[in-house]
Amino acid sequence: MNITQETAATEHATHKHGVMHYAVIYAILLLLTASTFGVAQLLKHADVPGWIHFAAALGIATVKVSLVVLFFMHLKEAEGANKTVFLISVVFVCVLMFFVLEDIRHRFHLLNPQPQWILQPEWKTEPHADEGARGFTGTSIKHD
Amino acid sequence: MSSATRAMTPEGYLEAPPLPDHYISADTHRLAVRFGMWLFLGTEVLLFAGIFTAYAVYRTYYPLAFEQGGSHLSLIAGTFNTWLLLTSSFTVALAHHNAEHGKNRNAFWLLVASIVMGLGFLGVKAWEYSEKFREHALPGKYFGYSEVSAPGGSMFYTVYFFATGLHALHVIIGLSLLSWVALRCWRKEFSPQHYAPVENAGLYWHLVDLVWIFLYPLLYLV
Repeated sequence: MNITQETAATEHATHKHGVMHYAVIYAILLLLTASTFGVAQLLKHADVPGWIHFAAALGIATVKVSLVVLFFMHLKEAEGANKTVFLISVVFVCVLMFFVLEDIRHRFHLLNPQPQWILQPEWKTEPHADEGARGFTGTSIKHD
Repeated sequence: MSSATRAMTPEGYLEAPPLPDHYISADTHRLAVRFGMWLFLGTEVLLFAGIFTAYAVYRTYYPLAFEQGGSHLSLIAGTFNTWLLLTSSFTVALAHHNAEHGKNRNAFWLLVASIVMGLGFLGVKAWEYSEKFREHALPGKYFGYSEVSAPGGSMFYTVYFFATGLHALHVIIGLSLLSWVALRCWRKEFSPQHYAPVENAGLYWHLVDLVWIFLYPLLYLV
């Protein structure tokens, strides 16, 4: 394979965009930011399961990230090797997330940390903590 | 600096530094530099993947604390910061475009605008942090924020400070890189034959933006 020829070909491809090209991508990104904000506010007041919040927020974030990577970072016109490196790292991120989450979701229940194991501030565990302590400002917290 | 000894080309650029001996052409050099940068970005993605995994795990364990914690972050500050980073990404993309066409002055001012927005981002973040410190909305044994009462509240702030702190560190490094290439734009170092430093500093800045695009909905919205 002639690397020099391949590079020369891709070099020509990267020069064709004007300023408007970037402005359009930027406008779409702003629109998507506004929509993720709006959708989150709408869903907060709607009675929908939590996973829909995540799907909407992460779906829009993924589209935004794809636009930045493909057009601002020029991965669309990049050499195949660069595309491979980036896409493989994204695949590895998914592998990491998927198996870790599957593990903790399907463990024997008691193998996951229980709420009472988590460190609580002292004001919560004091026997005399009454309703007044809910307005705690943090000034009297003691540590050893 | 080596640039002081380099001559001006007829088009008004500083001459590109000499090609290292082990490259057969300027094109292979450019290919290698760009590939190296993408490899590095791959490792950066994996670095942040660890933090996003921690977020996913602790959110699964303590859904209520994460919901409460997120709802007590400043939505306006987070959204404004998202806008700042997106806009700076846009101006950095334009700076790269200008440097690639040898318009060093345009690239310089676009980079200055990006740096100002990056500093604005850090300013807003510093204000958010100071609010959290004031409220004792902090990780581990320093946690004492009564508004987040569900179990695992301190874990939310561990993830919050670790994720945004590592991201802010990347913003600071990115700003240093942008300042360095802005200075070189001012000295008219870049030309259609030599613009890799602007491209690579830009790629790093875009990565900082990418991480924030995911942090923003996960911390502030859902």
